[in-house]
Amino acid sequence: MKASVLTEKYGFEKLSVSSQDPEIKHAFIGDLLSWVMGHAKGDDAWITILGHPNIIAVALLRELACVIIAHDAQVQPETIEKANQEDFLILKSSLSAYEICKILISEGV
Amino acid sequence: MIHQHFRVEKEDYANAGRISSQIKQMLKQLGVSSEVLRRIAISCYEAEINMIIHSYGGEVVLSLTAEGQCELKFADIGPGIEDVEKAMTPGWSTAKASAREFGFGAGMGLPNIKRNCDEFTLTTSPEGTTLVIGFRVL
Repeated sequence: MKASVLTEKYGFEKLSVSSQDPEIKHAFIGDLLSWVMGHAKGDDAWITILGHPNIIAVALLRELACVIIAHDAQVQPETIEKANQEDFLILKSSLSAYEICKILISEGV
Repeated sequence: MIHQHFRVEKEDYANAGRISSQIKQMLKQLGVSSEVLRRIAISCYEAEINMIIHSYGGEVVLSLTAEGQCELKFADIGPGIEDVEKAMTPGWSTAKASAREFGFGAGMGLPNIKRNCDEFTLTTSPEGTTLVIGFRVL
């Protein structure tokens, strides 16, 4: 599915100014960076509550599709700034990781 | 032969991953395959983070030979790893609360590195730790 479906159909908030509308092929849930580095796959949507700029470094190194912040968790301005610099998409939702996954599955991910 | 040095500062969380990104970009431009790049990126990031979290600082040296051997050396100036066997155990970590707040300290750093590189040499003393990891890239 295209990431834009999450904003247009489900009201997810777009936090970074990215021209990208990546294709989400799988998803990974995790709040420990090493687990994400070690186990996420390219083109994953990464669902997390971490808001530190290091999430962008990890997402770019692993070539993830986008980051989805769950539970409306706080994201540092530096994180958004870094994502903007890298043209990388961060989305945010008040839903839990489980509920976000249910949406992704219903959309064929 | 390419030989490049990068400086790593203690607890510089804001720049964590910067060196790994630079190295990945450089190797990508040289035509290294995405499968090998993925393994190098994971290993390099983990080792860079380890230096930021645990060491007093140090440097990363990237060497690439004409024969297609890529070596990454992470050399810090201490305080050394007290128990290497424990450090190599998945899930075991001595990371401080400040590092854990940022999502570090999963205890997967060294195990992730060892799993992804072709060669792995770790030497440590209170004066410093040196990790050398190798990859066949071409």
